[in-house]
Formats: sequence, C-alpha cells, structure tokens
Amino acid sequence: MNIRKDVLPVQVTDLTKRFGSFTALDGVSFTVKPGETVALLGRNGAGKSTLIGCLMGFLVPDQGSVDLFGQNVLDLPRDLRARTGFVPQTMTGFGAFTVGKLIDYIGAFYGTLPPIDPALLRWADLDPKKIVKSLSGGQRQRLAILLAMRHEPDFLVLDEPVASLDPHARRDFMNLLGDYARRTGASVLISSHILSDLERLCSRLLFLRQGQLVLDVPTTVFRATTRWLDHATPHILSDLPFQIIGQRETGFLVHGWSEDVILPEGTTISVPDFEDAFLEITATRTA
Amino acid sequence: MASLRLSPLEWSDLRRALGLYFTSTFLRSNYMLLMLACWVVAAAVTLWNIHTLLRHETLAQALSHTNIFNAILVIMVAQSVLQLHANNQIGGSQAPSIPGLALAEARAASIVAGVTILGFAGLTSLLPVPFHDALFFVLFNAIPYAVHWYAPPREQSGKKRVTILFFGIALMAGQFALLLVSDAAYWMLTRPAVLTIPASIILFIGLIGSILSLPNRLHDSKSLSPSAHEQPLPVESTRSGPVGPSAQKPLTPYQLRQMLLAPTAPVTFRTDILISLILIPVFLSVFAMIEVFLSHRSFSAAWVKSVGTGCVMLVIGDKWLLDRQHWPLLLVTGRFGSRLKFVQAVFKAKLSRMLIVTPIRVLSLVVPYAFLKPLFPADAFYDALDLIVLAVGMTLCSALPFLLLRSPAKSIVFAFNLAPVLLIQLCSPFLLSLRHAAYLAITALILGLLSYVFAPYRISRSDWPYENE
Repeated sequence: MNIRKDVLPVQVTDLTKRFGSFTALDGVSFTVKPGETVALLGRNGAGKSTLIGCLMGFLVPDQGSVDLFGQNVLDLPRDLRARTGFVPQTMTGFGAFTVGKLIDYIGAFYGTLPPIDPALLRWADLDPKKIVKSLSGGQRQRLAILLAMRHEPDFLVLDEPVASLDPHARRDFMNLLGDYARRTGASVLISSHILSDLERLCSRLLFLRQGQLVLDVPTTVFRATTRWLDHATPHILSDLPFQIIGQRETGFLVHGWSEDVILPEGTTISVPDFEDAFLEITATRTA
Repeated sequence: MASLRLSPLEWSDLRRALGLYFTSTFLRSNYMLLMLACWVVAAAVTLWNIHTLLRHETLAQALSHTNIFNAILVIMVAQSVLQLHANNQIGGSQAPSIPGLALAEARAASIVAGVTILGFAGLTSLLPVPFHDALFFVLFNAIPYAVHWYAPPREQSGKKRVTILFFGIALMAGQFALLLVSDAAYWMLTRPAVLTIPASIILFIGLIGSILSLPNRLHDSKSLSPSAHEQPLPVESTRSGPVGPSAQKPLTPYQLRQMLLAPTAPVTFRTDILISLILIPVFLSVFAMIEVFLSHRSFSAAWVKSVGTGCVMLVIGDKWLLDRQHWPLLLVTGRFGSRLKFVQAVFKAKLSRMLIVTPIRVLSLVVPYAFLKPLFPADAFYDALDLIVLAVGMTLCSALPFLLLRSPAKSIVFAFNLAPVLLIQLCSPFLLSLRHAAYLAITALILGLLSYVFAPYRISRSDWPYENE
C-alpha cells in the first residue's frame, strides 16, 4: 500500500483510557504532521506511556480513537504497521538470540530491507556474536533503538529511550535522531525527562497533566510567547489574550505573550527557563 | 483465531519462526528442556516396560504395575517447553510493534505442538493400543495447556471472558481429578473409536485454536498497565495527613521469614498450620470419591491407593532456590548482614518451615492411611518418620547443584527444585520396603544436610541475578 502524502501520520481524537477507576487519559486530541518531531512531556503518571501504548495499538481506548496513516490503529494492516517503529523504555525478551541473529530475524518481518544505515550501526556499536541476555542495560537499549529504526519507519515512537544510555551515547543518539527525521521526513514522537534534549530536537511540545493535554504548541512559538509576568493581578491578565499556565508567588507564567500587548504599569516580564516552565505547566494542583 | 490461508509473506514468516526451533536460540532460551529430556527418557522406559509386560499381562495389569504418570508428564513438560519458547519472543517489549511476529510464532508453536502430540500418540500406540485411543490419551492430558495457551480477543465482553475462564478451570479440574484416579489411563486407552475420534478432533482443534490465539496477548500486556510504571501522583494540595505506612496489616515475623523463600503470598503461622493440616486429607478424599464413582472401588481402598499423590504434597511449595530475583533487594536492606549470612538465613527459613509443616502434613497423610489400610501403630510411626526425613532431606538436596557447580544453569536448578516432587513418590515407604525407603531417606538427609551446611558458602561467592532475564 502506498502512503498518501495528504494523510496525517497520526490523528488522535478524544482519547480516553481508564484502568479501573483511574483515568489515565482524559479526552486527549492532537495530530502529528509528516516530518514533525513531537515531544511528549509530563510528570511520572501523567499518562505518557499510556498514550504511547494507545498510539501504537497496544492498549485499547475506552473512548475516542487513534488513526495512523488514516487507519484506526486497532485495525492497522501489516504494511502500515511496518511503517511504524517503537522504542520501549527498557528492552525485554529475545534474550536467547545473538545480536546479529535477532537483527536479521526481526528485520525479515519487514520484508526486503536496504542495508542498515552505517551511522546507526556505528552508533549502536554492538558485537553481533554476543547473546542478547548478556548485554548491559545500555547496550540492550541501543539494540532496541537499532531494531526500531533499522527499517526506517515513517512514524517512530520512543518511550523514554535514553534513560539507560551514557551521556556520550545519549548526545550522539539525539543527533542521529535529528538527522534521521530530516533525512527521511519521518514523524517522530518522543517522551523523555531530559528537557534540554527535547527542546533542542523537537519542533512541537505536548504537555500532559493528569491524563489531560494541557498545552500543544510549536517549540518556537513556546519560546517566543511564554513569559513570566510578575506583579500583575490575575483579573487584569484574564482580560488580555494570554493563557495562564503556571504561577509563582510574585506572578504568573503565561503563554501567548507578544510585544504588541500593552501590560499594566509595574508588570515585569522575564523569559522562563525551559525546566522552570515544564515544572509549572505540569505541576499537579487542585482548584 | 488466525486465518489458515497464508500469504507468501506469512509463509516466509512462518518458515523463519519454525526455523528457530532448530537453532541454538531454542536451546538457549529454554530452561525446561533438561526436564523434558529427563521425562522423555522416563516416559520411554515406562512405555517400554508396559510393552514388555503386555506379552503376558492384560493392559489393565501392565498399567497397574508401571507409572504411566511419567508419560502424562512428558506431554505436559513438552507443552511448557513450547510455551516458554513462544513467550520469549512474544513477551518482548518490542514484540507488539513488529508486524507479523506474534502470528508467525503462534503458527509455528501450533505446528510443533501438533507434531509433538501426533508423535507421542504414535509412540504410545506401539504398546500396542489403537492409535485413536493413544491420541485421545495424549490430547486429554494436554488439556491444561490448551487452557494456558488461550488468550481472549480484546473485543471479547467481560461476561464471555468469565464464562470461558470458568469453562477452562472446569476442564482443567476435570482432567486433573481424572489424572489422579488410578484406573484413568486404562479408561482413556480403551475407549471405543466412536467416542475417542470426535473427542480427539475437538481437543485437537481446541489446542491449536488456543495456541493461535497467542497474538491476543500483545494487547493484554501487563507492562503497559499503569501499575507497572505509571502510578498516579498524589495531588499537591490535598495533603490532609502525612504520607505514612499503608493501612494494610503489617506482616508477621513468620511471614517476613517466608519472604526470603519467594512465596506468591506469605501466610501467617496459623494459616500455614491450618492449610498443612487439611490440605492432604481434603485432596485425597476428593480424589478417592472420584475414583469410587468411576471404578466402583471402596472409599478406603481408593484413599489408600492415592497416598502417592499425598507424598507429592509434602514437598510442593515455593521456588526457594529457583526464583532469586528478590535476593539483592533484601540483601541491601542490611537486615541479614553479609551475603553469607543472608544465604544462611534463606536456608534456615526453609529448614525451619519444613520442620514445622512437614510433620503436620505427614501426620495428616499417615494417620488416615493407617486407619484405612489398616496399619499397626508402630508401622505407621516408622512410615511417618521415614517420610519426614525423606521430605526434609530431598528439599534440602535442591541446593546440591550449587555444591557441585560454581554457577549452575537455570535448567539444572529448575530440575533439582522439581526433583523432590517426583522422587518422593518413588522413594516412599508406600512403594518400597521400609528398609529400602529408610536407606534412601537417610541418604537424602545426609546429602541435604551437606547442602545445608556448605551450599551457602558457594552461593554467597557466586553471582546473584539482579537484572531481568
């Protein structure tokens, strides 16, 4: 099946997922366009892995739907499934294979493949004769990444892929991932707690809080329009075209700020650090 | 269930998945293979014995003089080997994202299972018994695995799931109960073709269908539920009280000691005693009643005949040396001191529990046995003493591989962990003369005590599992 270029790689509509009485995802909707690199941000338990599980068709939504390449993910045909790639948080299973045998075995399920990207192979730096069970946690994660990217998927999902990588491997992988997305035009969705990586790599940011998508914004827009406004009262800010996304003792974190908006006298403006902004946006509060 | 018409791509997937069964990957991944090899030998010897006995005995007599249980077990162990292999692939965290993998593994497993079943039925038919009876015998004893393989489709309603679950449990309970009835094998091997052929077809389709449902497991992955890695966080502003210990009842010291032995659910001292007291009499009474119903034997005769099963229950327990994933976690608590002290604590916990529950279990077996057989009190006392020594000694012998090898393979540890379950029947005073049983019991105790004293030193100087796999 040929992939139509006008079809969105990912369309998530009103996605809700419950585990017993706990709502892990609550009415999440977003799309991912071809070539977009999207960061999924949120605290532990915000619903990131559940969203990824639903996106890949591993979990069944209680409400709403996930479409990949225009098809419901729960009925995704084989040729479209073969256009996706998935890197889990930790690689389990396949322990008895040798690295080389596993790469060949898994690769064959994708049909005839071109030779593995030499840069990817170099980065993974794995001995093909080694048994998977004997690899270290970091080496296994490299193998998981190699297996997920080996067939050059059009939509790549990575669930905290770098947590077990050393700083060299992590930095090199993020560069490799950026190059891959640019070279192939693939869409990438990545969840990670290393914010500097995400800020550098991703063109769009999705913030999840308690199962809800609280902010969906291009990275450049986020940088340009997110500001701390100190010494301003909320009722004045509510009249202005801002979205209040956080607060501290002296003021508010707003999204949608622009130089054109005239602020009350005495209001001070400062650019937030990305980590501070993350902490504010994803902080769990009650009304 | 997967479609039976395969595309060229699916054929090639299937060939690759089947090919894995003939590679070192299959051998490496499967710690059950050693057990299978042992049971294949035991089953072959048993079948050969029956074959020889049939020259001058009837089938009923030949079966009563041999342990056909070996042949039944080989069917079960073979299914476990296949399940373990398939799960090694399908259980991988990336498996759900690989197109066609789960289906190919399921199809390959169903073919290998089918061939194994037919092969073993063919071997059994050489006794000689009619092939249809042999096939029925093999398939009937594969019922638990037909149930284990089954994974419900994701769209199946909860009500239907529960119904199928209960049906599966009922099938397994029926098979298990029948298995323990002494004439069951004869009954299965002598049914008319009009019954066995349709039943075999249903059982075969059931088994293959269950295996082919394996890809449904991908959507039921425990690793994706929030309990695994996505616990909801407490809301910051709802701190109505300090975060403290949960409202659950704290574990008793008896339960804490059991934690060292990797039980699924550590029970309190009182519950453990109660279970030990009623477990064997209740089970054996149920089996005896089934046998009374099927073979018209008297209740007391049926009860006395099933003491071999009662012996098995003396040593059924935890996987104390097989499952050691929790050791590093407990060691670092510092509660037990050095590595050596920790391992000695594990051995001590095992021995102390054995010394508490084994006499109770033995008494609950031997007292009704002596009453129903009947047996002189002195003979019953010696039988009981022999069983206690045998059970304790054999259980401690599970550590023998650590005494002999620096890092024994998991398959060897597994085999030694299961060995008491099988050997205790063969070495019990119910099968052998008391003198021979006593020699074996004393040997087991000496080897067990050697393991108890010296194995902790070896284990404390070997690698402990601290990562997955």
